Amino acid sequence: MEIANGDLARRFPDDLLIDIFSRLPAKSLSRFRCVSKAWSSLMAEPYCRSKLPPAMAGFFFLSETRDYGVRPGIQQFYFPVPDYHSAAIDASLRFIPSPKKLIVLSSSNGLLLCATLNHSSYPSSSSDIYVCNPATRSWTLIPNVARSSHDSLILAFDPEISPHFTLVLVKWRTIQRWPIIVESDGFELETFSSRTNTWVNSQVPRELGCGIHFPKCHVYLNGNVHFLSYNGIVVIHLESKVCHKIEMPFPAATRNYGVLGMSCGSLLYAVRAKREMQVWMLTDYEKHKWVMRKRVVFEFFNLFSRFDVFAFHPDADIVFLKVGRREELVSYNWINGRMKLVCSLRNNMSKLCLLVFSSYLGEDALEHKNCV
Amino acid sequence: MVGVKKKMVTLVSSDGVEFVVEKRVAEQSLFIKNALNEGGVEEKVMIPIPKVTSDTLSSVLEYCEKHASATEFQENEIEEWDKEYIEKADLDLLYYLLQASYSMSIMGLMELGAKKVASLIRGKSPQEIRELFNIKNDFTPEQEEEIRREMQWNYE
Repeated sequence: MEIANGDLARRFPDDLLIDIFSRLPAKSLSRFRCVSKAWSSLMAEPYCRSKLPPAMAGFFFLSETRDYGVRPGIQQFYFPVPDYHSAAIDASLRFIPSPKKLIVLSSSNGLLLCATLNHSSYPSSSSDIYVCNPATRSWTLIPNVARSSHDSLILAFDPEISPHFTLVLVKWRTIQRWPIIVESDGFELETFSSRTNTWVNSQVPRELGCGIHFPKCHVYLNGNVHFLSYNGIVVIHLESKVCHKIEMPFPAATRNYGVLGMSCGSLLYAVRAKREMQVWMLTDYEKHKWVMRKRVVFEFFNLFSRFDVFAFHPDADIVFLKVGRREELVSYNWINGRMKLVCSLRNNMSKLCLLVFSSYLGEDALEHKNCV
Repeated sequence: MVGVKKKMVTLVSSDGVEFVVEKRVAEQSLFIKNALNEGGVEEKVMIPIPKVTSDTLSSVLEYCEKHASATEFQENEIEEWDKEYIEKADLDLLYYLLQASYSMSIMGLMELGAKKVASLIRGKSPQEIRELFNIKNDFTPEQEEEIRREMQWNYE
């Protein structure tokens, strides 16, 4: 048997090809539009598009209530990207059979890491930790999480590499309160792999990572987890558990609350200074060489309507900015300069973080599957 | 003889080979199940399976036989069997299995095959995909670049 002049795209019924496409990560899909005209035009069809996961399905937005008379606590909102039929994603997370409310801590290529809220309105050391896929409504409970409330927990999942996920538990030494920035003289590392279903402890050089932001953004790239610390980007190679540090493009850059992202396989860093925003790209990973890709001054934002850089789009040259007193979230394309309103955020909230979510319908290592 | 009480049907592959199988095995295919219901004929049923060759059909029936008796096995036993079954199929067979499962409406097999193909192609570059499936690149370099750019504006 041989597919003599077999062009799979032509010989397969479209439905079948769409079914295969729908099981791929969004990242692969956007690349595969370049395979041939047949694939490209199929993917552009509205019917096909409605079946495929977009590069970005929406975002989870965490805020802290500041209303008088209301007990402070974390609140969570999900904003779907308008043109994606959001019914496909169960952002309520109610498919997880936990009687307690769940808060998303980390998001990675279609999977979410969530913690239950127990007595307090913040995740604590007694929180149950779940990894779930809100598109397929599958979930798994993570065993033996030895986490204290101020430790950082990061999820690393890349379906292009493996259906298995890894959890990185960064245990900070000397710390004050979650989630406020505090000084720390280093951390210990524990990692959990869904392949082995166990936690492994690793030693970390002391000089790495002093003080930390709540790691609101981390990037999983080339088998490494990256997150911001006070004095640089901490890099953890998940296979070997070897850690090192990447210096920032300019001193004290992290103190300006920048965000990490990636584009075309390179690490990106966007940072605000007054009315100016800079986007840096790490062009040489080995030599830690940064190149400034964009410098833009937003003249129309005055002192009273400042802006913050919130997150990078996972698959386009776009950053999300929080703008003005009315708390609007806008997308800004740093290549062509186009800016667009995404949505209005809630008032009276202190913004903690924005977790970009891309949906994924393919194979994963979650234990409990739900047939949709 | 054991087979006497069992209802049998005969499936005919596109290259004319006849396969006599139990009705409950054949009915794993919704296409055959519907054909049997419509026909109403109980005995000596001959069902032609167009576009599916004898090699492919024999492999398809291996799957159907296992899944027709799925209740006799543990769930993870079937899962393991599925895994092995699809693992040993080469790319050509995989391709024909998918086509057959689609035309014969065998949902489980179709899903199994689609998953396998997805796992083969995720993470690959467009060029690797073209080589794998023998697809001709009909884009000019300029068109390809244009598509790359275009994809980025989706969010705006």
